[in-house]
Formats: sequence, structure tokens, C-alpha cells
Amino acid sequence: MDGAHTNVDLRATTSSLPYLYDQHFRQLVKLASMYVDDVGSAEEVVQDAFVKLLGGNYRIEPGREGPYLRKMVLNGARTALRKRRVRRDHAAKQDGEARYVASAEESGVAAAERQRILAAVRQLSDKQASVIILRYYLDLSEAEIAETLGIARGSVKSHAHRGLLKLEGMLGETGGGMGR
Amino acid sequence: MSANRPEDLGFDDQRFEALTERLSAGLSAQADRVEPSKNAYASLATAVAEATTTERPFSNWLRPLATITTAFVAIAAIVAMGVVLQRGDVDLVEAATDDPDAVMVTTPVAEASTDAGQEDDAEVGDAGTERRRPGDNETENETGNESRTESEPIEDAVEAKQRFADLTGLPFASEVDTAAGIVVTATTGPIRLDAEKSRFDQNTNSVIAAGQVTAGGELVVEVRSVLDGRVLAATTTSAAGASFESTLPVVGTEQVWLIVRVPGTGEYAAQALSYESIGDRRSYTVVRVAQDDPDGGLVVRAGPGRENASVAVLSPGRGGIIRVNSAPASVGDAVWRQIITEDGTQGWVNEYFLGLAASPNDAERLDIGHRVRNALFAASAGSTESLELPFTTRAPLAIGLTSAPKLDDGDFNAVSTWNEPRILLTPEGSSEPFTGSLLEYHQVANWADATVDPRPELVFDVDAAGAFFGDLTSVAISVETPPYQPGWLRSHVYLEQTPTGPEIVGIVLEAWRP
Repeated sequence: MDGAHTNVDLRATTSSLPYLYDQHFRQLVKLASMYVDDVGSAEEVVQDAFVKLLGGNYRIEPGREGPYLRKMVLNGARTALRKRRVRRDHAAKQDGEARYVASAEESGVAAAERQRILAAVRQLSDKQASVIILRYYLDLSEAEIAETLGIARGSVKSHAHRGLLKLEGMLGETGGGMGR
Repeated sequence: MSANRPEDLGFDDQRFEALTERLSAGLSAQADRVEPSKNAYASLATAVAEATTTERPFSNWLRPLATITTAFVAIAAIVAMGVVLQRGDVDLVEAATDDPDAVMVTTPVAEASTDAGQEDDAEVGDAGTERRRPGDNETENETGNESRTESEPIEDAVEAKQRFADLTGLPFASEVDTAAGIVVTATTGPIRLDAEKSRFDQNTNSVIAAGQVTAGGELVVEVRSVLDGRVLAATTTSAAGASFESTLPVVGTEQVWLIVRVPGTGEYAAQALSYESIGDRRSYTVVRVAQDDPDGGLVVRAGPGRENASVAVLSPGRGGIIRVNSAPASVGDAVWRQIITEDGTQGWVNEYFLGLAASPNDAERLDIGHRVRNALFAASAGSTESLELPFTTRAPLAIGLTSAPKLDDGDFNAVSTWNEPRILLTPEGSSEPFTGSLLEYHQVANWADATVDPRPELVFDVDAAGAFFGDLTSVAISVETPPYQPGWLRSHVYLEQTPTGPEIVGIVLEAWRP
């Protein structure tokens, strides 16, 4: 035995902020954007996750920060989504219908399709939405989704199935935009 | 199907193929239009720096309190809302919308009540702020055959469980606290730890293990480091169909598992603890006490002052004394300090008789008194009864070996063929000094870099026939123990070849700090 004391500084090197930022930040902001409306809010959610990881008492095995951050971003984004949902429901009550307004440069069929899909996904339950996003945006496996959400693998299947059924109902008839 | 997407979900590439393609495209399009702002890194770095430099208000043991408080607030809010709804005199949504704070409170309730009627959509908690405590029974039962706490950050739980199993050799069971990354409670078999009574006692600098056991027999009580699984303190007790309570003196600042187990059965109960039992990590020596002192040495008393009962006597020159992290007490002209020795003796002594004796060779070197050079004992490797180590160690003994033993070529002949240093040191109280194995030890590459690596790799035993040492005339082996960081303890063991085999002719234990 070399005798080197392996009391590992878990925040060193690959667990450092620059490294983690380069590896994960951009993708996590994109992930958070599935739940929240603007990039600023998405960044805020991701920043909170980083702060919790690097500023807190967490001891994460080096190399495992990515999944942990992803989990915290999902939770943070979903919390933000829930808060916004109530406001949106209230607005819908006032305006008759909740809707997303496309910016000028996004107008067109593609933007409409994207917004339509996003709006439909956001109408799913938290779990269903998360499973759908992790599956069809990040292409995660059933096991990875189960681990990220802390649910059983069987639940991943059921949430995905129910979510797809709902989405089919919401998007199916008049669908056919991008990617088809 | 996306080329990167696994096919393990089964159904999505068939019936929903068109839909999933559409989803992928739509979600990717959403992602494509999102780019972090240019100052994102600077903002993030600032936030992280603030978080790491700001003293965190909640220590690990306060976090559960905060969680419980939050839970009470939430319950109170639910109850209050239930009353309001029952009265029917408030429009919940309007009230929530009018008051931004109310939105925060009412949202989960409104959602939970909605979702609960539709599907099992139990909430996943915030991995960063919510902690699953034992007794929280929110579970995922959708599949009927798996049950798991939903708000538990599962990958940390898996890691913690694996860590516990790896370091203790015990099968994991029950809950983990992912905030600390350590096991909160884990129980198999008939033992139950009382979470209230099992704790670190600041007054006695001891870990108290208390609980119940339904089956008779001997119990082993251990305090093991969460970092590396080292056994920091251990004792045995017996209990049959009754409660048990053991007290284990500890030193240092540690995160530990308190484990009570039935030897040889795999049955155990474990609980995580943190303690800080000393503030002054330096070792002190009994000084200014004559060898022929009428009391036999420095009297350790149950409290500050001579009127308190004597609990032990520390012989003149006795070292390895740690001043406990408590305020000194002035009694008359004397200042009394609470101390603990490496063998667990605790009490109060007059500070005047504690000193940091300087080494003749090194001002930083601390002679802690375990100096038995040319000790009177001269145990033959072939006998077992005459070896009495005139020093005590903290049990279990932590010890290290040099992979290239330091040889003293002044008094002894150097030996270059030494390839597997073996030495026997027996924990105090062992009845079989030659066969008793060291419970913890480490091997170091060289003295300058000597640090602690507690992974056990060698099993110590003495070659009773002396064959191992047969080619030697004499040798000095250096071993070192790190009982109190940041200093360490080094022992030199001197052997001489005699007609009957190698004999230990001297042991010197010295401690110093870097």
C-alpha cells in the first residue's frame, strides 16, 4: 500500500466549479427551460442547484455530480412550474384561456409546434412531464429516469405511458409538425 | 426512435412512435433556442463563493429541526385551509393570487388534492432542501412491488448504503440521511437503538449506545468513522431480552456510525452521530510530579478541585493526555482542566501538572511519556507470558508499518532483506498478546509522507518459531500510530536475535506534531 491518505476532497478538480460548469451548466439550463418560461428563470434554478452542491454540506462522489445536479434542477424547475401554474390558472380564469405568446422571430409553424408541444407537456402532472422530458429530450434510460426521480422503474413506465396517452389526446389529432 | 434513446421502455417505439418523434423534435427545438447568458458563469461563481464563505446557519443536526418546523408550518397551513374551505367563505384561487405569499403556501395543497384524485403522483421533494426522515412514509406504490421514499435523493441513498456496506461489512437496511451522506438508522435482527438516548455526551466525552435487544448474548458496540470505517472506539456488553447501555469514550471530531451488533450473525443496529469531544488536539504529559509522589502521580478527579473524588492516577511522565473542549475551572489559585487520556480515562486535573515537554532534538517534538527504551521486558518470540507492553493505547490500537522499515544502524545492524515487516503490538487488555491481531493499522511509504490509510491489508501475528526473524541479528522497526491528528505517534520497536530467537528489547513511543 502506498499509504497515501485518501481523505478525498470531493470538491477538488473534477468537482470544481469551472469543470462542473463546462460539463453541465448549459444542458441543465436547457432542461430547466422545459419547465419555466424564460432563460433567466432557468439559469436561476440551475444556479441554485450549483450553490446547493458546492456551497452545502453535500458529499457527492466525484463524477456523480451530474446526475445530482440534474435531480436538483428538475426539482427546482418543477417547483417554479407549480408556482407559475397557479398564476397561469388564475390568468386563464381572467382571460379565458392560458396561452403562450410567440415572439416575432419565432412566429411560424415551427415555433407554433414547439410551443404547442411544450404547453402540452407542461399540462401533464409533474412526474409525467419529468419522465417525458427526461426520456424524449435527454434520451435517458428507464433506469436513469427512475434514479433521477427517485421512483421505481415500473413507475417510469406507467408515468410515461399515461403521459403519452394524455399527449396523444392533446396533440394527436391536429399534430404533425416538426419531426414528422 | 432517436438513435440515442434506449429501447427499454418497450412501448414507446411502437404505438407512440410518431408522437415520441414529435416530442423529441419539439423539446429539442425548445432547448435549441435556450442559451445561458454571457455573465452566467460570473454570476454562478459569485453565488457559490458567497455560499461557501458564509457560515451556514444550520448544522447537520439542526437541519432536521428546520425540516420538522417546515412540516409543522405546512400542516398548520393545510389545517387552516381546510377550515377555510369548509366554511366556504374564501375563494382559494383568488385569495392565493391576491397575495403572492399565499400562492407559495396554497399551491402544493391545491395540486396535491387535485392529483391525488387522479393518479399516484406523490411529490418528489427538493433534493437540495428537503430531507427524508425516518417515519416519513410517502411511498411509490404504483407498481405494487416496489416501495421507496419519493423525496429521497436516491442516488445519494444508494451511495450511502453502499458506503456503509463497504466500510462496515454489514448489510445495509433502512433509512439514510443524504444531507450528511451517512446512515441515520439501519437495523436488522433483534437490536434496536434508542435514537434519543444514543448520542454523544459532551459532559463525559463519550458516545452512549442505548437500546433494546430481544435476544440474549454478547453485543459488540462500535464507533466507526463514516469517512473510512475505522473503529474509533469499541466495547462489548451483554443484554438478554432487555435494554442495554454502553458508554464509549471518544476523542476528536468525527462523523461516525454507532453500531451495535451481535457477533457473527450480521444482526445489528446503526445510527449516525457527530461529535466534537476535544478542542485542544495536542497531547500533554504529566509534569512536575515526583516519581515517589505519595499519591502515585497526578490525581484525576471527578470534578474540578481537590474535594472531588479521585477517578484515576496518572503516573509521572505519563503522556497522551488530551485537554477536553470545555472551559477550564478556577478553584482557588489553581486552574483545573477536563482531560481524557488515550485509554479513555476522563476527569479533571490541575493544569499546573500538564506540560508539553520539548524533545532534546526537536523543539516541536512532544514527548508524551510512552518512553520505555530498553524496556525491562525481553520477551522471547517463543513465549507468550512474559510480554507486557508497558504502555497503553487507545483500543482498538491504530498502528502503521513502514513498507521499508526504518533501521537504526547505530545500535543495531541494518538489514536490507526486510521485505515484509511484521511486528506485534497488542491492544491493552488482550489476554493473548501474540495471537491478538491489531484491529487497525496502516502502512506508510516513508516517514516524511506518513499519513493515515486505515485500510487493513496485513494481519499481524507473531511467528512463534522465530523463523521470520531468524536471519536477523537485531533490527529496529518503526511503526507509527496516528491517534490524534494532526500529530502522530511513532513507535520504535527494537529486536535482538538471541539463542532462543528474536527478542524485543525495547519499545519507544513518541509523539509529535508537524
